[in-house]
Amino acid sequence: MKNRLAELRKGQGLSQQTLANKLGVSRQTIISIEKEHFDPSLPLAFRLAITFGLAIEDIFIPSI
Amino acid sequence: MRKDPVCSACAEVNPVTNNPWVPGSSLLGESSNWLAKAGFISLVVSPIAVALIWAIVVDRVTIPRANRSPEDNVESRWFDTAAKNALLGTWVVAGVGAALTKSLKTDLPAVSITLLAICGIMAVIFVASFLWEKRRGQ
Repeated sequence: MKNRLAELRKGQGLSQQTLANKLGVSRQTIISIEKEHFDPSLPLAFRLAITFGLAIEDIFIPSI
Repeated sequence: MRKDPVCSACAEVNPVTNNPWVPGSSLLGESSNWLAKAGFISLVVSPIAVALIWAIVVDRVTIPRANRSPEDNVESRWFDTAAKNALLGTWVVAGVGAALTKSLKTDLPAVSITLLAICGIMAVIFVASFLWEKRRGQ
């Protein structure tokens, strides 16, 4: 699934490791989501949305 | 009913102990000492025991830098995929191996039966797991 995670993360000046620590996941998970190789679970998507103060659909773009 | 050919060497060995086709079986033979037996059994059982103790005793919160949500990690999906591939791969290899050792009329009837048993056990576990998940999901 396409997403704006890398753009949003860099916009807030966060490293992948810092964001991973905030979300309680591994850095590899952040890398995989940014490369669009891995779709996060719904709880993780919600945590991402809360972290960036956005709605889930503002971060993830469904490829319909 | 055709009886499987059995080699003379295989006929004289215990099916479990001292069987050249069973890895580690010589350690379980009557001739080996208890220390070797204990060592072998410890070696086989230790990975499962360590994992079990870790799961029961170790609190994730006490581990520095541990992920709070490992189930959300991409590694979790890798693990699931690897487990699924291991299941299907073992199933195929055991099935084909059972068919080959049976049809090629080798001197390994025990291997054929063992592989067939592995396939059967995996099928039972798969069906039980599927039905359990189905019941949970309803």
